[in-house]
Amino acid sequence: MIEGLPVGLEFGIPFPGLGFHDQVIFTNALIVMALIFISSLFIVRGISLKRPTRWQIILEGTLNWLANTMEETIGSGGSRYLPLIASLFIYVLVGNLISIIPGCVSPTSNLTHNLALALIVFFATPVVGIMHIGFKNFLKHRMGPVLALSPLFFVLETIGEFSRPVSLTIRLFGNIRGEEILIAVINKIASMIYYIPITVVILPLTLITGFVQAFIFALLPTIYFAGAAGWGEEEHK
Amino acid sequence: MRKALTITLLIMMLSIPATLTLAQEEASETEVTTHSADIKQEKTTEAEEGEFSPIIYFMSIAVASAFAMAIAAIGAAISQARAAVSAMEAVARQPEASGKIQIQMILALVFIETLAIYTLVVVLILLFANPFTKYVVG
Repeated sequence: MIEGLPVGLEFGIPFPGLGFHDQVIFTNALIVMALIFISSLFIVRGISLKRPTRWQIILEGTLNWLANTMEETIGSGGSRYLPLIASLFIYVLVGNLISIIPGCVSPTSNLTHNLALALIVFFATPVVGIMHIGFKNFLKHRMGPVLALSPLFFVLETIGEFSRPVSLTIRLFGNIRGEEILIAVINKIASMIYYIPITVVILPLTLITGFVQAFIFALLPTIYFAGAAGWGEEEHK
Repeated sequence: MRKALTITLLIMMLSIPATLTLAQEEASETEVTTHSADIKQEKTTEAEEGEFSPIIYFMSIAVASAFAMAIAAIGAAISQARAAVSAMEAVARQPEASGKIQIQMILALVFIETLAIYTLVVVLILLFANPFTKYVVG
């Protein structure tokens, strides 16, 4: 029930071994992926340096803005993992905003789906750290500044590492799910009195939250990577 | 500021027993009406002193979730306001660093908001996915 508040319009591919809500989420995740894939194919087809098309400018502007934000946040070299971060951003953004289309449900309003996205970041963080500063330095980074306190520091850092995917998951889930429940409840109240298309008023709020949450979901992994690889520390020294 | 907070907390504390007694009265009323009505319903509502009445259970869940959300909103609002105030002061002092400050402010706001979202998730679990509901309703 916490995950599936029926709207009555949603549909799902009858995939064996899944409940109805999981089918709906699975189908919508597939729709999001297909939307991104097909639109990027069409954008890339008309790409040119001299006369950029409208969609090319939109895409390049978004990526440039994201790269600049990352550089500003954690110093030079912040946009090194732009492909991973930008694909997370675009996927979560389209996933948040797809609930505007009647009949579609945001796949990001599911805990399991968000956990899958957060686990990518969770497993990528130590890999990025080891790739940049080596295994020994990575462990030393984890041990803290004083050798005598290193077991304590190691345990604390590890617990902090495990709390990150949980907080990423629950933040996205709570925001998107809470907003869906809010819209459903307001719709119900409005239709109790007489029919008001109040969704038109509420939906712009969804746009803002969806965008901000996608931005956060892209920005936090950047900071985790920076913490693991030690970028931006040279500037302070 | 502090006065207003204490007053609201006092009102909250006063309202909890009031709602509970209301719930008990409602429960007893329904019991009385069902006693006179039917033997079949009598069996279902035979939850008396020993057992826990479902109405009190659901009432207390509603009250608890509303207050949890309210308290979380108070805390999040105060701390987000403090973060925003400091960020605005910093921008006023150093307008050229506004981009960096804005991103840091958004990050701080998100970390604060996460706590309120945790409360929202707990409230949603209490309301919609409570594991103890099946023991009460049967």
